[in-house]
Amino acid sequence: MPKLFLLGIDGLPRWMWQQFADSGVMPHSRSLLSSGTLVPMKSSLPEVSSAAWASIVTGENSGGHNVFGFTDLIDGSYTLAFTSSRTFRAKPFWAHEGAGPSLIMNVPQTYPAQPMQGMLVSGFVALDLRRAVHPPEELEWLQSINYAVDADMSLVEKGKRVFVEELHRVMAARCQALHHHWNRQPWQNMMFVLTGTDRLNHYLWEDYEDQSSPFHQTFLDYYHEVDVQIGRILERLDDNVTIAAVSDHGFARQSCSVNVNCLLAQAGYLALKPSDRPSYIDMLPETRAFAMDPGRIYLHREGRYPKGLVTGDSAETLMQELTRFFLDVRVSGMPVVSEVKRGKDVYSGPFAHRAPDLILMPAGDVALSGRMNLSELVEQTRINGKHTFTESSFFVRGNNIGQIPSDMKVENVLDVIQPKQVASRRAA
Amino acid sequence: MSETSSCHNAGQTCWSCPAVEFKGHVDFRACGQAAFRKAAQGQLVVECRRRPEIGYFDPMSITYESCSEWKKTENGYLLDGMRVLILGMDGYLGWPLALKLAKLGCKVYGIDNMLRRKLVAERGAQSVTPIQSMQDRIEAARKHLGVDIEFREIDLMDRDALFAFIKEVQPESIVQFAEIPSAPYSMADVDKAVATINNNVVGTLGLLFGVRDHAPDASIIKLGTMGEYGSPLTGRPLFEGLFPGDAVLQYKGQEWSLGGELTPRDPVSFYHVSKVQGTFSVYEACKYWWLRSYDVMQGVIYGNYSDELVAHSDLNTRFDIDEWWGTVVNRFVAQAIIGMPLTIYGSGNQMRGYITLRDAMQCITRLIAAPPEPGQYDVVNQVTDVFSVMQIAKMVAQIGREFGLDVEVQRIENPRVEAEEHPYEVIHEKLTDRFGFQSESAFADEVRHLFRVLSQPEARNRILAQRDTLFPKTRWSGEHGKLAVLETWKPAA
Repeated sequence: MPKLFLLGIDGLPRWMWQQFADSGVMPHSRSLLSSGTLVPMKSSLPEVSSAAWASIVTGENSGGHNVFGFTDLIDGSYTLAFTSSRTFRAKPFWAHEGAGPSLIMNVPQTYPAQPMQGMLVSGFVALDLRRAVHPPEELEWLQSINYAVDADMSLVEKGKRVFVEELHRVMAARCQALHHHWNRQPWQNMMFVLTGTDRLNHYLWEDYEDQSSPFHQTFLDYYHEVDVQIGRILERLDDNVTIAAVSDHGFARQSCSVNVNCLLAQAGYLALKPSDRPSYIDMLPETRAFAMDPGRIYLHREGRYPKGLVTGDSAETLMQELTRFFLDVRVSGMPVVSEVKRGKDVYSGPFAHRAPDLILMPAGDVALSGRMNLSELVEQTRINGKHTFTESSFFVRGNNIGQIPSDMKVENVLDVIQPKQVASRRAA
Repeated sequence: MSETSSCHNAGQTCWSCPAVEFKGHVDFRACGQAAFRKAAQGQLVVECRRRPEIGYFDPMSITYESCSEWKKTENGYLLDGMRVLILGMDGYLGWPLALKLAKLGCKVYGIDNMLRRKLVAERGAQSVTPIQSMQDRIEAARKHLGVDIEFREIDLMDRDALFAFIKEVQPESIVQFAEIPSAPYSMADVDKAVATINNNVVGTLGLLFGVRDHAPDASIIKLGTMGEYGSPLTGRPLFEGLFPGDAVLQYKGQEWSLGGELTPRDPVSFYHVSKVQGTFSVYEACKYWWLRSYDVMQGVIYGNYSDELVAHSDLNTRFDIDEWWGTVVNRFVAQAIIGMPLTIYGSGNQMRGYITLRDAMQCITRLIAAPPEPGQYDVVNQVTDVFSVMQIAKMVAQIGREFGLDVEVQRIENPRVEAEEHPYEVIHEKLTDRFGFQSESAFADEVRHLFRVLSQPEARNRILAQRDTLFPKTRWSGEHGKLAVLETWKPAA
């Protein structure tokens, strides 16, 4: 069975990777990309990292792995819980029988670390490193190098320079950890995800686009350092290893962030009782629909939620009404939603019944959020880059790979890079 | 108790629950970067120590009412088996609170250095109601109430032992009663003043470090006193520790908001000074370390009734009546029982806030049940009535007549340095409005109960045995000599 190295570069658009490879910002990538195939890939719906990485490592859509976003309400309650390895219900490729020893580092949705054959360090959201490491005895060494699962976002408040320094620090420790553990034994599978790229894109996208910005070069320098790390990895891989590199979504400019729950409240679909820190438990029974990040719309259905009153008979009418509402709604004269998808059309699998009823695709430069704090329709934020559904990256090079679909999606990654394993699992 | 008042904390969320551990902030709009300081912005993320299966979650999305770990009681929702550590559990307040909380299903732990027993004995005084050793008290609680209480003899000042116990118990609420509670004791001489300041100020300060390091999510119920405020001659209302949001300071034509600032303190003895210093220590610790506390400005407490105490005499709490350790209502009833005039200091027009033991226990329980949020410091004025000392003397004399007692009242030279004529407007709204407190005992009923208890032969003999300790001797001025009697009379029926 060919060995696998799966590199994740969170939020790196296909076109940007090619652009940086061609322009010399990422020279190692240039030689890598020329040795294999790079295609654009579609992300999960919605285009959030948690759901997309879950699809990449399981080959399922959200209906199959049960990760629809970073958050979800616990069934039959209004408890807003964060998706984790406990709620992640499909097996990642390293957990299947016969997968062999694997080194898995920084893959989102793997916290808390679950027992597996090999070593795993969870990716975000993993706020306690002590429970993010398997086997646990590896924790002490990681702590000794100040390994961090993620950068401290609050450093953005201290300025972009400080923030990017933090991203470099986190990446350096992560790469040090990769090479340290790489040496320990011959791994069958390795997966390593860099997430600083996504954080950089969120907060410095405006500097990437504005070549006169003092932080434009800072942006390029970070990608150059990513490329240096790609070069160090490539040096250690031979032709017998299937090399794949993926991102979970694309990226684009964000000019504003609109809170969908504000729209729903203004239109009378959502009603909250007064609260200093509103949450889903504050929804009143007259609520007919609510949103969760980024643009997941749930009907407040009877039987699904404790106070829900929307009946099955009225659901279709309500969904049609909401679809028209979202397509028509304007904020500052601008459209907010470009398309409304139906959950039942998008998801398949044993958890499809937990899916949102509608998924909003944001229009133009607009980003969507689903916060319950309704104080701001257009939210004040330093974020100026947003995810896109299209144009994530999929690269592969190897001798035993499957065919790349013309409409490549995140849930197809394993079909291409581990075709035999996927086929044998499906046959079983 | 009405349905509404018993559920004052139904809508509180996990953010104030001590079973929840802060994990960080995330901003899902930017893929969940984490910030590990509580002061940061973003979506709060917590984990529940009791329900780890939930994983990370938004603490605002679960209320006590909707959580399986919070059980409805007559004093609101209580965390099932809540671990409460009572410091000073052997005292007048500590023991009845231990019984009440244990009966409500809390796991009660206590410490005490038994100093109060020693100091009262040194004074030549004793509890009027006989009290058992702590070991026998705990056994009696098990036998008569069916509850288990764990006790360690630890001095608050022995920080190594205190911290080790906090670490072992992992309390979810800590009640700080372990202070020397006497104004005249603190004014008697330098050693007693220093001992009071040492124990109360340094002890509380040390405790705060122990909580920070070993139980940072525990709520701290700190007993203060209405005496911290003094009695401002301007008539300024005695707000509940902090100025209300619309309070304004005007000076030289300009205005500044005072909202949220600590109100002025004007302590009336070195004991009260120690309480004020404790207040500032707790206030700062909440600010520096995100600890959480209610500072309870308690009025003058009296009575000895609670549902648990009356279950058996072996469960008695201590009841002191001497000059140093007794409070005014309790002392007046004891004086009346043995035919001693009720001693009023000066004019007797000093106004004070009062509360019965039973009501105070309900208030503290309700505060424990509704912990502050991390970093929150708040103050309640734990008072039900405001009376002048003269009014109290007259009411006690009146009730004494119901028991066949011909009670005299006596004005004596005031041993204290205090205003004898002053306005007194106490704001005491939070406990009723926010914590659902409803008084269960009226002044007259509680005093009648005291007359019944203290007129029993053994109690009466215990009062007589310490008769010499009842008349005040401790002057704030430091001077010595018997205080002059100014006037003695029998109040009109």
